[in-house]
Amino acid sequence: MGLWSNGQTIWLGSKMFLWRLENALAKGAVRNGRDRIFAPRIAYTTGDIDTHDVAVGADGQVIFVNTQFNCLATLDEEASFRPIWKPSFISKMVAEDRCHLNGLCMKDGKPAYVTVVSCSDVVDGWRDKRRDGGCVIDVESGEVVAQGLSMPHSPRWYRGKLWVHNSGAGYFGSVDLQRGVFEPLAFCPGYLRGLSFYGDYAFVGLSRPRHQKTFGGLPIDENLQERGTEARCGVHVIDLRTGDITNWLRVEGAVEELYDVVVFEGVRNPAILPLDSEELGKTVTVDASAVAQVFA
Amino acid sequence: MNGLQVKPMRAQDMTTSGTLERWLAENQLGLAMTTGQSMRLLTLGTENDGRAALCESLLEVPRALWTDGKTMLVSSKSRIHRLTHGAAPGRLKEHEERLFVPRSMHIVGELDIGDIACDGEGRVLFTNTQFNCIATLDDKHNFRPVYRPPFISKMTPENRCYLSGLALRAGKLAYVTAYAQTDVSGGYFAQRASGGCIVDVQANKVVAEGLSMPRHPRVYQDKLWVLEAGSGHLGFWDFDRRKFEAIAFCPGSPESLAFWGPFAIVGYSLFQSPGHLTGLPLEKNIARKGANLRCGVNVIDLRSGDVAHWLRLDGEFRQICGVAILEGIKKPLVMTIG
Repeated sequence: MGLWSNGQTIWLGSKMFLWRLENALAKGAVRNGRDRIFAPRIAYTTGDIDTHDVAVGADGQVIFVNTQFNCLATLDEEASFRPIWKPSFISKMVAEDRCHLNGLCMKDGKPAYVTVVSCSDVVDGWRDKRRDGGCVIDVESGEVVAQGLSMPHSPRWYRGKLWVHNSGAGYFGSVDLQRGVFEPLAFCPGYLRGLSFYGDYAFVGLSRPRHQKTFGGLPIDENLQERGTEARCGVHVIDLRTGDITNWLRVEGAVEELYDVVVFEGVRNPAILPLDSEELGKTVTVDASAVAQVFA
Repeated sequence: MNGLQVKPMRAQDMTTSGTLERWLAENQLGLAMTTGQSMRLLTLGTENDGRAALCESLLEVPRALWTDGKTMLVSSKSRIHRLTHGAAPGRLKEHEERLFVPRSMHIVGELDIGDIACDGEGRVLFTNTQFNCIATLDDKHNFRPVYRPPFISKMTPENRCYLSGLALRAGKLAYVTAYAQTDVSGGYFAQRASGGCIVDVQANKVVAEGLSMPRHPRVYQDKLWVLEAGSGHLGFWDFDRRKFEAIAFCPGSPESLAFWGPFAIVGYSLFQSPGHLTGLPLEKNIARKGANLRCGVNVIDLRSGDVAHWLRLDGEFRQICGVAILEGIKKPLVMTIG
């Protein structure tokens, strides 16, 4: 699910675990043509809390969206997670996925905005509000800064603007914080989740919706029909100046959905070592200064 | 995620002295054991009616084991697992039950970790046998070395000296054991009969020699206890007379040690390959006593050296690599990891 990286460390949310991976190559090193080889180093057991977005704060603390418990959370030595924030309308710490809190936007190294599918305080209440119940919430003030969205995802702060996907409608755009209005920039033929930037470009993830219960009856259905197309899975690169889709890739076959997208800057050929692979077993890295100290 | 396939454990695989359960129940104790190649972390406690309560948790070659009753550290083939019993109050049906839940897993690589402990600062220390050093966990790397014996010259995965155990004193790393003082790859093997030593970490020098495959050094009641996996003995190092004082013999290769009150709890194993026994003192000791090697746990009274209680594991069980006493936990349970 959620994916965060600074090019050296990757944090990855999965069904039961929050994973930390590290680049095992020394600075500038290349192995088999690959200039980043990420090795899984630590798995924290969060339990099945439906982790969505993941980010690291300026203080190095990892923060994740705990969708099942309707809160932002961090790791805890003694427990599955430690809640650090919840929307004001959520009245109880409970595993009921009431509002489908999913997206996390960091600004100045701190959680700044989150997206919810609705402001509901009953179990699975969000599912009845998928068409237009979505909101962007300011974490510090607790205020709703944009509403009327359809299943918004992946809020991100970039170049002084709050970008977000109005996923249920198929639009990528930004929020005018003065007027509290979503301003669409580009339509994409797929259910939008995952957002990352480089220069003048946004990288967005598209999915082919599978579950009628979750994805059926959304404005994106009409928007796709109008354009005579179907939803697809892939990545689009959008020019922020024009809204044009300047590059794309399609994913077909077994992979039908993407949840998150991260751009590695200055990297040509990254790879991730599978758990229990022979290569992972052979990829042993140790801090050189610690070795120098002990083996002096 | 661990996808282990093992044959189910059978009732006849475990036999106890019959007194073991009563001793555990009367003292509100649980027992945890790692079984190495048998792929299980076992916890033994008692039901309210006094019957044994055994819990199996599958892990890939679990070996080193440490607990303070709240946190449990277990090493497996390439990982270090940290578990805590953090169940919400009222969630478990009986007061004495404690469910250990996996909290984190560090992928450290195949380091042949045999001993592990948490020091006074909360730092996890373990024997990195492959790399001949004591290491701790590292967020970014496989591990971080913190100490190497004076006779090891290089950081290299050659298992030169078979660094086998570590002892803390007042929360600080105090002693380590090695099968030999050798600085060549696999060099320990030829010296298993009597080449073992104990190194004083603070002084960075060898303080005990002539041991046969020493393991699990522990400072307890002002003595430095150690197991001789190559002779079958539990004993202590007599610093005045500069010799190992054996106090009890186990019919197997003792690999794990814990203490509670006036008792030592020793886990012992069969050898991986019978050929590994050849030339070791244990071979002679077993023959002299007319015994067969087996796998089990002895609860030894430190005052007399007598075996007060015992259990044995048969069937596919061959090893007990770690033992720990869970104080105040009458019925310990462990959730399978992954």
